[in-house]
Amino acid sequence: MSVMNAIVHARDRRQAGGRWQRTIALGARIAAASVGGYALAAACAAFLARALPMSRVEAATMATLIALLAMPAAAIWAFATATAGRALGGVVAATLLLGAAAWLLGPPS
Amino acid sequence: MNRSLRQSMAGLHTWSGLVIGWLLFAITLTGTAAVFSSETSGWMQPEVAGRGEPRQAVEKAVAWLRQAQPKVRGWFLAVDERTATVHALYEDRTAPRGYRTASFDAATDTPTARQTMGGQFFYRFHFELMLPNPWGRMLASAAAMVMLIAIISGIIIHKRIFADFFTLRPTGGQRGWLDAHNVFGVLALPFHLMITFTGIVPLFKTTLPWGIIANYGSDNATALAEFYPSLARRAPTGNPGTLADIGPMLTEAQRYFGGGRIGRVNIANPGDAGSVVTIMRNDADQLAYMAQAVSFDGPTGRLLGAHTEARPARKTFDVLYGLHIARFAPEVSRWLYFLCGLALAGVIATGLNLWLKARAPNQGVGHWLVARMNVGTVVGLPIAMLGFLWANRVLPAGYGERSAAEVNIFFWLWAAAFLYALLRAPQRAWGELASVAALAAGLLPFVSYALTGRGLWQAVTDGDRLFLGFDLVLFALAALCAVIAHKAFAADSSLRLTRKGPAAA
Repeated sequence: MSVMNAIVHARDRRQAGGRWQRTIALGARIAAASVGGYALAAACAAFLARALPMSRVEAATMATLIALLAMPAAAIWAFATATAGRALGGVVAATLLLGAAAWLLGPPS
Repeated sequence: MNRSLRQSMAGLHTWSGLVIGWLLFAITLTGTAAVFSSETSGWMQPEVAGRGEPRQAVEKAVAWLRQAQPKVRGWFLAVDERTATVHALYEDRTAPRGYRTASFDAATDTPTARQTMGGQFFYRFHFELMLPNPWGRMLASAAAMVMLIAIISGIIIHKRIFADFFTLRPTGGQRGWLDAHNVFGVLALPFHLMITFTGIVPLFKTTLPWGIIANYGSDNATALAEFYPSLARRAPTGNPGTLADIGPMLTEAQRYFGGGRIGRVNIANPGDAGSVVTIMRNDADQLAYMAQAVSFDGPTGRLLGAHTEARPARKTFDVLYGLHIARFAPEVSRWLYFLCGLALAGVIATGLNLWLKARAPNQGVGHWLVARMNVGTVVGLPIAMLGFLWANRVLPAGYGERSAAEVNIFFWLWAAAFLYALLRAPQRAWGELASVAALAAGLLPFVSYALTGRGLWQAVTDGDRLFLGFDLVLFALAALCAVIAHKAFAADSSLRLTRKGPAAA
């Protein structure tokens, strides 16, 4: 079955470099998905909590519900995207962007 | 869909599923058992007949607490409509977990029912793994998030998801296990997605507080007041006071609830002049969790405030929470939750087994360990859960600290089963441990009858649906474990046949 082939031979995936580079690449994707995914969700929650046009309790709640979806989205993307560099870079960039935007918005008055 | 995406999602699905599979199986199975936590608690306290009106049980509980526990900082009463029982919780520094519970029905003046965590144990294990707050909750939430990722990646790789919907090729080989994994997964897919996401949501204050922190900084008091206006807090005055009669407060609360049922009664600082009584509507009345609450001044019974959650985002949160704990559910829906929970446990168990089947055996430590951990978890946990119920019957009602003892027995039994699974060849351990589980489940109704006098026949004649239902579920579980044991033994003997040849059989 092609699915079983895919699972057992995941290593066949076209990747440059030897074993060490593949390990680093895998590690980068795992970091991007886990630590990066969480950081992205945190930044997303902070940004939306301040950006959403609702009272602060409503915004904080809605922001968190949406941010909880950002984490699996980031994880899927981190493994689906073409290179490990893009995975890590993309998640970090998005996190920094949202974090900066949250900081610039400042706490609700 | 290109091959590369399938490969990456397949790798993600396999490894995230494997790493978190055993923990998730435990969370899922105990969560499934927690659907019927009311009935489990009722079964585990056979001394409480559970007759009469829950409201009278509340009054009995408060009356007892007034004279028995006047000085503690709070009384927390939970009304269980299904068993017409009130469980009162109060602080006790001498207790192993820092608190004690006392159970009342409408006829109880002094609580004499055996001390037990009851169904609450499966619930607590499910969301905090009996680990200290917040670590248990964080670990469980992290596991749930990984499960969400595993489910989504599983959906992505299952490209023939509709064509394969009714495919089941039970040949015993790898293909059959994959089909079983897919069937359990796809048949209840909306449930699996819902239960996983709604399981992560309620704990966000612990796991993803950054939205709250962004808006409130470190001002926890204001945040709490805005998130939960119904939980009116008032510092104790330090002067003694007498709590007013609870009856009129219950009546007033039910009037505010439009005739709805009482769910919780929390009394803060009962012996103080500044005591506060907060009455919350029963979660069984509506989909949203903690939908309505009323607070009263303790000494006078004067209304302090009332709150019905109507704010859209807060209400969304409450509904998502309510969807997960399913207290809203009428009888048929509860059974659907239970069956879907078993299906999810089946997804995880077949997935763990599939990992083994997809790889040639005897290929190093990984395969050795996974094979044994599968047995130790998938059969070991049910043995421990049944052992918890056995302990409830076998330990005498007056045994000291029996509540903690029951929990300890659960963990010791699981450790023993796990150790057995580590030392024994997996293909034999499956059958042997499944047989133990089948016996444990099948004999329990009889042991229970012998030790409590409340038996199956009496349950039928009395119309005692709780005991009847519980015993029937135990028999069904025994049958399921017996089937698994039979298949495991058959697979083992055919495996030995093929290895050594027919002459060796």
